[in-house]
Amino acid sequence: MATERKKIHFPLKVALPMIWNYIKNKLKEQIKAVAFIIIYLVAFKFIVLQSSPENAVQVAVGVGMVVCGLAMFLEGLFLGLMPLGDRVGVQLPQKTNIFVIMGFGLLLGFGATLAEPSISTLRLAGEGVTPWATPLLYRFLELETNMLIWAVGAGVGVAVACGMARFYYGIGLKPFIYVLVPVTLIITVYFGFDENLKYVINLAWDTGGVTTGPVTVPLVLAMGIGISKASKKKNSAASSGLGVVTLASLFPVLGVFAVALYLNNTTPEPMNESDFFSKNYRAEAVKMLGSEEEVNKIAFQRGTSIARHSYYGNSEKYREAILSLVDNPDNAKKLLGNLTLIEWLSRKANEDEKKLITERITEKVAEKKPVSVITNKNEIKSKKDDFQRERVLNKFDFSSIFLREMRLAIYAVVPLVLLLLLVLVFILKDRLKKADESILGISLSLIGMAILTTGIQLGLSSLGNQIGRTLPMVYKTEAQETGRYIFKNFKKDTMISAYNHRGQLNKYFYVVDDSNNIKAVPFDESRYDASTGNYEYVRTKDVLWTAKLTLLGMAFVCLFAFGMGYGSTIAEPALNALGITIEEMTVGTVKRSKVVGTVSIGVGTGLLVGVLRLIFDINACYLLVPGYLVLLILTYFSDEEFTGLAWDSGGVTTGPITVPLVLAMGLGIGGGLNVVDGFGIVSMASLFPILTMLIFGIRIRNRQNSHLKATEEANNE
Amino acid sequence: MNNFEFIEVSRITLVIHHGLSKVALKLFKDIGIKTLMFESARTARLRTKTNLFDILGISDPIEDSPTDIFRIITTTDDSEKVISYIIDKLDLKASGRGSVYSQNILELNGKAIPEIKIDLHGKNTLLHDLTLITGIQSVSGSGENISKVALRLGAGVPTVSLGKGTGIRDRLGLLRITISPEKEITYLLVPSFDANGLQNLLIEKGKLNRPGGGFMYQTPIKYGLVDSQVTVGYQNRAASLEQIIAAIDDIKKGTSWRRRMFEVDEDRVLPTKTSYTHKEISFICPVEHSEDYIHAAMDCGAAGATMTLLKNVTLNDDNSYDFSNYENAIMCVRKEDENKVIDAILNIANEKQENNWIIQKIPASSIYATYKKK
Repeated sequence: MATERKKIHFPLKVALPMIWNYIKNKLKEQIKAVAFIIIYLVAFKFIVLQSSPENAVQVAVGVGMVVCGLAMFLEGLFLGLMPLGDRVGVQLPQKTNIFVIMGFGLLLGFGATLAEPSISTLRLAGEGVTPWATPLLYRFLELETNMLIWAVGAGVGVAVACGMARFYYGIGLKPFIYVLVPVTLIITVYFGFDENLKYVINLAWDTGGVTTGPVTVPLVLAMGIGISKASKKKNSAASSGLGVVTLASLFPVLGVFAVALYLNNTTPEPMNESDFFSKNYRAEAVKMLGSEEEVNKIAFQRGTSIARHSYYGNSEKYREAILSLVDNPDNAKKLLGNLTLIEWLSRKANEDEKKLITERITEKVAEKKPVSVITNKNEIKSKKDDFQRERVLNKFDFSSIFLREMRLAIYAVVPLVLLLLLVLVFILKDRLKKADESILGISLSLIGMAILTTGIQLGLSSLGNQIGRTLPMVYKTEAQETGRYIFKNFKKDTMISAYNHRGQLNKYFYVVDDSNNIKAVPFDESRYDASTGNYEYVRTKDVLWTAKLTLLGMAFVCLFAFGMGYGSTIAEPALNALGITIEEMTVGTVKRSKVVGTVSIGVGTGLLVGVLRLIFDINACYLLVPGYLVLLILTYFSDEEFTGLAWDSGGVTTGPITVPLVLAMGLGIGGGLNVVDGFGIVSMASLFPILTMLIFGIRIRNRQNSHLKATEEANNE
Repeated sequence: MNNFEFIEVSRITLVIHHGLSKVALKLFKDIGIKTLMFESARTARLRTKTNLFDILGISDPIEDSPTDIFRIITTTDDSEKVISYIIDKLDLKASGRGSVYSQNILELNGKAIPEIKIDLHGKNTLLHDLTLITGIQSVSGSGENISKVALRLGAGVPTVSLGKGTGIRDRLGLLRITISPEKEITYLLVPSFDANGLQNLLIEKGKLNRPGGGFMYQTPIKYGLVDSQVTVGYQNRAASLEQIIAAIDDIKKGTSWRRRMFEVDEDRVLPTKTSYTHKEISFICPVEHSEDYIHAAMDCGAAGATMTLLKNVTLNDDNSYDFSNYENAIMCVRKEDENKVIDAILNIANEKQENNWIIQKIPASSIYATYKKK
């Protein structure tokens, strides 16, 4: 630099309004982005589920944090990470050769996969995967996790390296798509015919969508733009800087496929549950899972009562083990792992087991022995205080959640930034252009990300869970239980008799509900204990839209899925970064809001289809293969610029906001339907945005060219 | 090193729809042009459309179409020929396809001036009384979008490109992040008679006279052809008004017949001076190389610079094109500072031993800036 420039110092009186205006604008933008999903969730809760949101204060704080976190993270991207990526990108072709660039790309892609904890979200979706029904899938998710991460990391690495080479040589994205997509599809179809391999299809396609996180995407995008700025190659449209994300969604699929083929030889065929846990097969099972104890755990955590019966062999031992869950909290913890007893009861236990446990607890309560677990938060009224205490405890957890998220944010940001800085300083012999700005930006993105993810857990996730968990009930026809109360000294003479229209005389008694309305409820003889005079009252909620309107229920599930996908994608930071970049690249002819909106509609549609797939249990092949074939055809008709843009938008859609919300929903619905795994939702959420964006691109191009064509026609006549 | 002497050349700027780009490149190659500068931009027009089966009436939202700006350098003698040829081949007489104009500039260290090979049959009438209004404003600034205002005022079809500004912003320390460096550069071709009036109108209606509103000036055009199609879409007459205006321009061989009356509140807008008090200096160099030059220039009196991305296109004989990225730093300096600034830039070039740059300068008038200079 020739001369150090004089700084202008503004007095605080001038500076503060400037800063305030700046912060206000950034926050306003994010409030707009988040507004939809919040209003949608709350409205859904009030109108469809007819209940008010729980923990309103916590949710509100969480939402506030999401807004602040988003604003900070996005600003951090634009101040720190993206300029850094751009700087490195511009310098690379000038000072090094293609081999260094590709090697660097490989390292960057691989590092990004290790740094961003996206694979763990997949494990979350695979919670219900069992080692007997889908052994290969189970091995992938629980036993050979490292191999999965390596496969995905290698895939992303190769993708980034290829992407950089593309920019360097100015090759278009279309040839890559024309080769990679058909190859992947053919493998998918081949896998579809294998008993074991077919369960990996969804996982593989999902990893493609999940791998590219909110830090990697903008960084790689900026670097790509930098490289194509500096390389002196032909074909300007090809070197627009887009397309790496596309490759980073396709190569990992191939990587997972490859590992699946490798593992398949040593994996047993799927079998039924009781065979797997039977004594005869025990040696094999232990070989696969590691230890006897592990097999026992799996029988509780993943299996049904069949597994447990089969595991213990005789019913006496089985009964003992079940009761030990109440009697021996340590044992319960060991066997149930992360599940609490309530969760276990509601998800895994069958009616007999539930009865067994409830009886034991009632017994204990009657004997006034301490009960170590609360089986249902409303079941025993005397325990309500404990429940409230639990709530308070949740609030205290705030700092530990924040610290954990902060650590994850550091993992996601710091290694990548360090890698770039090292390359910049040692290989390119350059330094940061505006160091203060970059440091501020990187810190902002770090803190912003931590605040954002904490806020999501406190606010959005909690709100989404409240709905996701109860939503599958909407299309169940039986009344929904909302709590159980014990009425001590229940007086039978308070009952009244009433005729139904068939002329039968039934007994009823009155209950006053929370809003002081008197309601007559039928008396159930079996719930009355004559010896103690206790009556167990089961409070139920009226069936929504009585009779069998399950179709309407399903419509609501779909509507919810669409809205969730749409709303959470609008707020997704990586997509916004892409949108802004595109708006700049096209000099404003493609507006950011249009891009974000179109992609969000795509994600919403994708989720809807993904959920329908879960409900109707459609083989993923039937959706993926035709879906991608349509994409290939549309790609043929799109121009190069929009091809990269459309295909990239499929990969950026899964980020810190969508993943927790959407996966939670997929799991909730999947759990309600007893589906093997919640996979396949992400892959649909990646496919449909590409579709909507390609259509959008073709439409906008046609429109932009329309008046040009008009003048040409006029001339020809 | 080259001999550092300014040469008077003609800079022909062709602004056309992105869809015509390939044709244009082929055409340039055919007439013997070896290299040119290319910039991506957008053209804003009003799209007239009927809402909900005519029930809600007609609305005219702004529609942007992708546009490419090509700048070629020819000798001043060749330029009229070239423009005429371009107009014929690209059929620019049909409104809505593009504009083309020529400016006489002084160029330093430019690329070799091509020999033009054209056999022309007859000449096109060109408008000789045009002025280019260049407006620079922050994307997120307080002012209204110039292009929007220009369209609503019927001032012409604005072409907008994006750039980044450097100036006071760089000297604020970290406080600078509160000001976005993104700038929109709006080019507007207007009849010379109306230039000042229109500019004042734009400043007033566009609220450029507020702090941070923007910057505007005029540069002379030798001759050219204006794309006048302000509206596209629904049309309820046999010929659009734009077509009629273009036809009359053609008949009258000028635009003076459509002189406008302006009602500008003189108190609110400082009257701009018509005389050429300033020089617009463009410093063109490979991407990410201009920083030191700009700082040197700013030390010598340039208030700031706006940088746009350019692509240098080399037209090969085998009909292929090579692209390399350049950036164009546009500075408006006072006539008195002109030599100092250029000397400062040359000094840096000497120091760095760099020769891959071009300086172009053209007189500028009617400078309007919201901030006052020392």
